Amino acid sequence: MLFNSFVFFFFLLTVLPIYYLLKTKRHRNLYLLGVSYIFYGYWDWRFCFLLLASTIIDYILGLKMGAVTEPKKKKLFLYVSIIVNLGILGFFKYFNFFIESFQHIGSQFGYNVDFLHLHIILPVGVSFYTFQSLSYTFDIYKGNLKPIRDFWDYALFVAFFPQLVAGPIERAVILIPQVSRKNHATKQQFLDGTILIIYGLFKKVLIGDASGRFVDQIFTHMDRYSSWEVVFAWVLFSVQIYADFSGYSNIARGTAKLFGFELMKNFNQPYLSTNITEFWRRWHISLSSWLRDYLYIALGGNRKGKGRTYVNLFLTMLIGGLWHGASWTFVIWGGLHGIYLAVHKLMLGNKKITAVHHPLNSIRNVLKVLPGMVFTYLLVLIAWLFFRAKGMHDVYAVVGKLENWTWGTYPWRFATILLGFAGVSFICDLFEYKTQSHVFLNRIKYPPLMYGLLCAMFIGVALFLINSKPAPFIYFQF
Amino acid sequence: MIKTILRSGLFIAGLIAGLIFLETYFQLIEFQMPYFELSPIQGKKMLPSKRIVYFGEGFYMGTTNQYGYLGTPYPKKKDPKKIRIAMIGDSYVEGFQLFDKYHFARIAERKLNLGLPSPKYEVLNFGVGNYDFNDMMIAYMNYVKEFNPDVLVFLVKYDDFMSSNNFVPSPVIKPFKDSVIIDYSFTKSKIYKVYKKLSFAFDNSALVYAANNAYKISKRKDEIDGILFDKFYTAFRKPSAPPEGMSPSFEAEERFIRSFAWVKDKRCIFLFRSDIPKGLTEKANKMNIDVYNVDQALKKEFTPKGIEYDYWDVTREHGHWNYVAQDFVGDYIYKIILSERQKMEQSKR
Repeated sequence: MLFNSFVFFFFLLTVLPIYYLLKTKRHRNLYLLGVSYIFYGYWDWRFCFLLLASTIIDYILGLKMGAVTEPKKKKLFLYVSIIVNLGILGFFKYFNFFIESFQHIGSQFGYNVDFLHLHIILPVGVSFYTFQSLSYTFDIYKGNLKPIRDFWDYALFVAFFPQLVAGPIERAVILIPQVSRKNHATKQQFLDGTILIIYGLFKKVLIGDASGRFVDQIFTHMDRYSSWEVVFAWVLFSVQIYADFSGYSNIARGTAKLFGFELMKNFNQPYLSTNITEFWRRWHISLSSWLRDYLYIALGGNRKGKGRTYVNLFLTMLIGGLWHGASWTFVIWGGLHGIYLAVHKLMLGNKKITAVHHPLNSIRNVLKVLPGMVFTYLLVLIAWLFFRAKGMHDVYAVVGKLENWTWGTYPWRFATILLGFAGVSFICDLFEYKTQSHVFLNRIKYPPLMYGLLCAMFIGVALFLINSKPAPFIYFQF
Repeated sequence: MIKTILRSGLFIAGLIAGLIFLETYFQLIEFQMPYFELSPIQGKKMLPSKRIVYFGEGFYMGTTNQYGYLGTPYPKKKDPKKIRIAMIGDSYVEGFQLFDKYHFARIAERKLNLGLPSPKYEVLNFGVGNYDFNDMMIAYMNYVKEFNPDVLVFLVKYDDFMSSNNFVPSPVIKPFKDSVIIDYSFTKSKIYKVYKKLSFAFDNSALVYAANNAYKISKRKDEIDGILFDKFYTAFRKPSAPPEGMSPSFEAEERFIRSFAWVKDKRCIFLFRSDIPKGLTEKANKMNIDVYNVDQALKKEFTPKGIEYDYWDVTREHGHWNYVAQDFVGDYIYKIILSERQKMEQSKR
């Protein structure tokens, strides 16, 4: 079920009142678990079995890990959890990728190894919930969390529908205490939740989906478009993916709030970062912090010397790239960010980045941070090309277009459209940045004025959804 | 009481501010830009000099020219040394699935001007989405004729020759004694009067255009239920009965046959993108109209090769002709015009 569909809207309007009619925590959790499985099964009911299997295995391993005191045995259970979770991910997501890569290498050396290719359907959100599930066993292993006894509560932690298919990848230490208590949204949570949902829909639908239509058409048939139109699509993709993902995360957070749950912020105006390290503290925060805590630190982090730190950074980002999709372009995307981060770390030396909020209250302050923001954006933009490309042939096609420059028939119109999308996205970011909040609309002094604005936003979204088909969320493919 | 009024006022102010913001945004990103008007003599008609971005199965960006049709703006006065071809039809001629340079009309024009010695050719695109034969003929009589075309190419399908329940108020061809006339009584309808009163908003506001389109969609039960209820609707939907008039024995309405007389002084070609109604070819030939079946030619060319000429890979939808089909149809029209020219040259000799 897509958040940006009328069916989700009806689903939420049905599910929410029934939730509050239930009196006990147990009833509410069981009910939420049921509707979460319905939400997930709406794509394909068979996916539910995989979700259930992953849940049962990690629940049992968590209990086992909590019951043993011997570090060796604890480690063994952790390894089993890692193998099972990454095994699921590996089979459904990477099996064909590795087989094809192996076949390709074999054919380069004259060996015909054309033996296996399975028609595997990638279950929606499998990368998200396996990572969330892994965070549970990691936290128990580290001693940060005690294993949860109630299976149904644990199952809800894994399957909680607002964040099931596309995050934020919640930490067990944050979400499990919430599922273990009776939740009731406060008035403020209701208001903030509603604002987040409508604002998220605005970003997802009216910026993300609307811009994605241009991007998809141009990227699929680059040979039919001019150089400027291809560059337009490339830059627009950077706007699309941000609006798409941050909008979706806002809807997820807003929906969770309506049920009395709090999910973490996943985006914090990443394009206003002044360097690449800061960018990764603002972009897909739940994944980047997951990778930092469970991968980078596990690899040794910065504890094993400078050289090893750079290698660890690079490896973490490389694996992070592969997490996004089974393709070499994602590996290159991750690798590029790994290089950016390692180089930045090298340049920083022993200096540490502490402040990630720059006061943009005067021209002088803006000018001070602007070159860094522009440079960081350009670095990120270069990497986005690999992220969007369906293969290296797309990257070569773009390079070819840059070498033989053409403007096309409507250069100004494409420029204006880009300005429209990027401008509105930027304005949203500025408001968020200034208020340090995604619900900046509730800062409006007169609430009825804010309700009027929200109503207009919702009308815009509804008009778009009726006139155009809802676009699936980009990160669903991951 | 005062508090309630003040609150309502603030709410309305917020709503209006939001809608103004949306209108500006839609205009900037060219979402749902209006490009039609309701003309009292033609019904649905394109407005001159309007920007159009259209996403259907494909993607179109273009403009209507200053004369209110698509493509190169050829003026009403024709250069006598050139041959002017008017393409008249529905969304297939309109071609809002790809850029103009890939459209069959432009491909045909390029081929004619590159491959043949003078006279040169001018191809004018008068396609309008949802036009049926009634609309095409009226458009010819009240608009296209002013551009003095030498050749008329009507791209039609068999059900264009039967009465349609058109949502958009339009003039209608009606039988009158042995001939036909155009009935303009739609201008007296309530919906047309409302449109006239609000025409500034309808012709310029993206938001109003989007709302109007949404309203039209809401009138199509199947479509709106699919949008609103998605799988809950499609899972329980009963298979719909085939539309009326699909029978191979279907004959064109008499009023349309009679209207052929309006074009008998022109070289006129009917290109069918479907089966041809029974007996229509003979009746058209009598009026000096040539009839071709481009759909059959497309099927013959692509079906054995396993190529789907109506499949769009980005949206994964079947629909209008895709790029390969456009090339083929452009070439098909080029060959028709070429053979017409050869016939004319032979008769001159």
